[in-house]
Amino acid sequence: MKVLIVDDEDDVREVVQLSLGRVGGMEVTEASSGPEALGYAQGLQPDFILLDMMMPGMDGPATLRALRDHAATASIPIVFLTAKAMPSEIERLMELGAAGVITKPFNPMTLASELRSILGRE
Amino acid sequence: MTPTRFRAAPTSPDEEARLQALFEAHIMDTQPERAFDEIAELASQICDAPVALITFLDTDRLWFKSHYGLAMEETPRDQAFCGHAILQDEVFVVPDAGEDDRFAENPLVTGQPQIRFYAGAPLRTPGGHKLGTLCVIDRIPRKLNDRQLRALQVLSRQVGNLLETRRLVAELGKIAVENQRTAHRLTAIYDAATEIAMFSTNSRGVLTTFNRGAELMLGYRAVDVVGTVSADAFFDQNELLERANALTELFGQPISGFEAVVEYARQGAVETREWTFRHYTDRHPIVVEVMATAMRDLEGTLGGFVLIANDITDRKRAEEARRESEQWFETLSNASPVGIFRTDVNGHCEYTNPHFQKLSGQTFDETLGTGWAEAIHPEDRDAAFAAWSQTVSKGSEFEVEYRLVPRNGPSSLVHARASAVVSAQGEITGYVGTIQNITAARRAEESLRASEQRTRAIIDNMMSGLITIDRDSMIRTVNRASEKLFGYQSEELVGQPLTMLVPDSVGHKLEYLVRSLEKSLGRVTEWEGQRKNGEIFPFELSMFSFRTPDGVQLAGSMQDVSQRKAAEQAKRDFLSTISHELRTPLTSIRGSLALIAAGVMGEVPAEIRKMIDLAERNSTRLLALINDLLDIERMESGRMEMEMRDVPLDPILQRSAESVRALSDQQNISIQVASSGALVRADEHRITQVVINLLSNAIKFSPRGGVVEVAAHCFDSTAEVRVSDRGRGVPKEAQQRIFERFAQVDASDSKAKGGAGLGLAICQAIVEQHGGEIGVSSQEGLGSTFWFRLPRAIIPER
Repeated sequence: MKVLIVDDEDDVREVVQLSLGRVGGMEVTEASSGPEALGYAQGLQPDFILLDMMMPGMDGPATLRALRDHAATASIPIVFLTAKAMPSEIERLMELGAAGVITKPFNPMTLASELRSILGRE
Repeated sequence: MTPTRFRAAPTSPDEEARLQALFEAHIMDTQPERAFDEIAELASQICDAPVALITFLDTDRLWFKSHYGLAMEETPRDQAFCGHAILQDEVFVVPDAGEDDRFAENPLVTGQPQIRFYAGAPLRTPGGHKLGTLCVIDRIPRKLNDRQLRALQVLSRQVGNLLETRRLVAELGKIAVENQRTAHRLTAIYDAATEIAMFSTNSRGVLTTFNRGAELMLGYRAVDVVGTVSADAFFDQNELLERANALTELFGQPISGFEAVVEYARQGAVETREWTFRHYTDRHPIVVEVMATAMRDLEGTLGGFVLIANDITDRKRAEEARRESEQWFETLSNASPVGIFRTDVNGHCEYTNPHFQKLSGQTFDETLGTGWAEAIHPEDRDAAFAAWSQTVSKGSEFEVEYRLVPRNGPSSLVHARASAVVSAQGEITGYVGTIQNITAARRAEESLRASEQRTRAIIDNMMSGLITIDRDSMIRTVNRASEKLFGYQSEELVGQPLTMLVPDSVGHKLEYLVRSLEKSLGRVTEWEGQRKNGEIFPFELSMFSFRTPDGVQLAGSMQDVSQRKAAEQAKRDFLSTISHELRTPLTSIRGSLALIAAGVMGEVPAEIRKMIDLAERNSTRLLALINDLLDIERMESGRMEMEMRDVPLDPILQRSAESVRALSDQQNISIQVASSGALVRADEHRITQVVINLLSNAIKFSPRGGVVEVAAHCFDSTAEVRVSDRGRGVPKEAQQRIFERFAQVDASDSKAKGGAGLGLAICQAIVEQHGGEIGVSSQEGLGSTFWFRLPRAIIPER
C-alpha cells in the first residue's frame, strides 16, 4: 500500500513514517506542504493521502481542493490529520470530501489498522 | 250821556251752577207739554192777565216752554224781565214798566208785546237753582192782589215739581234702557258660553235657568230640569255630604244638600270651590270649579243663586301628570349618583339634588341663586363663573371642570355641563345641568399617563432594542436602542414590514421571519439582521406576545452580539490554535514513545523501558490535562456541542468499564456492571466520558483488590447511574467542593493520585447540560457513591 503523508512538522512525519512503514508495512512518501503534495501525488498515485489540517500557506482543505481539481489526483482518498476532535469539526471535514479523520495525537501502533478500516469502508 | 231807561238784569251769583241745573233738566227746546200749558193757562186766569208764560233763562236767551196768549217763543236775555225775577225768591212785580227806569225803553215795552205790567215767580230746583219763571204779563199798568200773588207762587212750585218729576222719569227711563242693554248682553254671554255651565236657582235651589254649556257638560236638557230639579242633583253626593257635615260643624247649625253648595254665597261671599259633578248618562265624574253668588234685590231679599261651573277635569289630569312627573323627577334626582341642578332663565339656581349638595358641602338653600359658586375653589371660581355667564347670555352649552372645596368633606374635581330648556315657543325658560365627580377618573388618567411615561422612558433608555409588530409583521413601535441597532430613525421603521431588517441574502424573507419568530417565542435565540448601511450583524432575540385592543402583537427584545461573537470567535480561534500547538508536539512525543516501547526501533533494555514508560505516563497526563482544559473552556462558553439522541445506558456502562480495564487490572479491582434497560436522552460520547471519569476516580480511590460497582436505576422521568466504591470516602465538608474546578479532597491527591481536579467539574458541566443532576453520597472510611441523573427518553405512545 502506497501512502503519501503531508504534514509541515518533521517529527510528526517521522512518527508516521515509522508507524505506517515499520508497523503497518506500507510504502510511505513524505511531503512537507500542500504544493509538494500536489507534485508527488500525480506521479506517485498513492492508495491514500494522509493530510494534515493546519499547514502554513496551503492548508489541508485547500490542498484537498487542489487535489480534487486535477483529474489525475481527484479520486485519491484523503484522510485528514487534525488536532481538533469536536464532532462538528469532524463533520465539516467529512463534508469537504475526506474519506476519514484521524485526531492527534494518534496511537502509532494502531494507525495503520485504523486507516485500513477507514479505507476498507470506502 | 243820558242814561237809558233800560237795564239788563245782572247774572246771578251761581250762574254757572244754575246753567248746569238747567242743562240737567233737559227742558230747553222741548215740545210743548199739556201739563205746563195748563198751569200757564191757570196762572193767566187766576191773575186775569192776557199773557202767561213759563220761561227758562239760558246763557243768551229766554225760552218759553209755555206761552199762553203770546205767539213769541223766545226773547234775547238782556231784554228779559225774568232775568230780574230769578234774582229773588218772592214774586217779582213791575206794576208799570213805562214808568220804570229799568224797563221804560226796553224793546219789549216800547215794541211788541208792549209789556206794561209784569209779575214773575222763579222756578226753583230741589237744589235751589232758579231756572226760569212762571210769569203773567199785561199791556196796561196794574197790580196783583195777595191771593193772585200767592197763587202765582204755588203754581210756580208746581212747575218746579213738574220739572223734577220729568227729570226723574227721564233718568229712570235711561236706567231702564241701560238695564235692558245689560240684560241683553248678559243673555248673549249666557247663551254663548257653551264651555261653561251657568245656571241659576231660586232660594231653595230649584233651577230657574240652565245654559247650553250646562246642558253639554252635564247631559241634561234645560227643558227637563228648569223649574223641577234641584241643582244639588248634579253634585257627587258623597262630596256634598262631606261638605255639609263640615259646614254643620263649622257653623253649628244643620246644613245639608244644596245649602252646602251655597252657604257662603248666602252669607254674602262669592265662593269658588272645587266640586265633582256627575254626568246624567253614566254618572262619570267631572271635576269642576264652581263659583256661587247670591241674587238679592235692592232691599237685600234673597232671590236665588247663580252658579258658574268650569270643567277642570283636563286641568286636574294635567296637574296630576305633572305631579307624577315631578315625583318621578324627584325620586330620580334624589337617587342620582350625579349632581343635578336647575336654574331660571337668568342663570340663578332654583334647585339642586342631594348629590349636588353632598359634593358642594352645602345645604339646599345655600346652593340657590349664586350660592353654588361659593363651594368652588377660589382659583377656579372666575373661570367657572365666566363660562356660566357666557352660557346664560348666549344660550350656548355649558361645559367646564372645576374643583369643589366643601366646608366639611373631601374636595373633588367635577365635570359640569348644562343646557338650555326651551319652551314649545322656542324661548329659553331656564337651564338644567349636572356635575359629576371625576376625581378618581382623573387620578387614574394621570396615573396611567405617568405609568406610560415611565414605561416609555424605560423602553427608550433600555440597552436592548425593542420592536413590536402586529399580526401582519408590520412594525408598530421601536425604541431608541432599536434605532441605534439598525441605523434607522423610528419614522423609517414604523409601519414598514419587519422583513426590511432581514439580510438581503436570505432568500425567502417572510418565511425566515416567521420561523425566527416562532422559534424565539419565550426563548433566546440568535439571528442575523441587516443595518441600514447594509452591514449584517448577529443579534440575540427573545420574543413575547401580548394582547392589545387591536389584537395580539409580538414584541422582540434584541441585543447586538457582534462583539460577543467576535470574542467567541477569537476564543475559538485561540482554542483551535492552542489545541493544535499543544497536540502537535504531543503527537510526536507519544508517537515516538509508543514506537520505542513497542520495540519497533529495536529491543529496549529494561531500565530504558522504565524511563520510556515514565515518559509515556506523563505525556498521557499532559494530553488528558489539555483535553480537560479545552473541554472546560468549551463548556463554560456554551460551545460544548451535544449530540442528543435516545441511547440505551447499558452499553455505555459496559464500554466505560472496558475503557478503564487497564487501570482496574493494575489495581486488581473488579468492576461490576449491572444492567437496567434504561433509555436516556443523551450525547452518548459525553456520557461515556462521565462514566469513565467516575470509574477512574472510583478505581483510583479504592483499596487494592476492591470492588467498584456501576449500575443504573429508573425513575418516572429520569434514570440514575451510580458508581460505588469502598474507598476512603469523601468528608462531608468536601462533598460540594469536589465538583469545582481544580478541587481535590486533599491537595496531596494531586501528586499521589494524579489529575488536576478538572474531571468532576467536567462531569458536572456535561450532566447539567443534559438537564440532569450530579452528586455524591459518602461516608468517610466506608466508601462513596457518585451518582448522576439524566432525563429518560420519551417513548411516544403508539
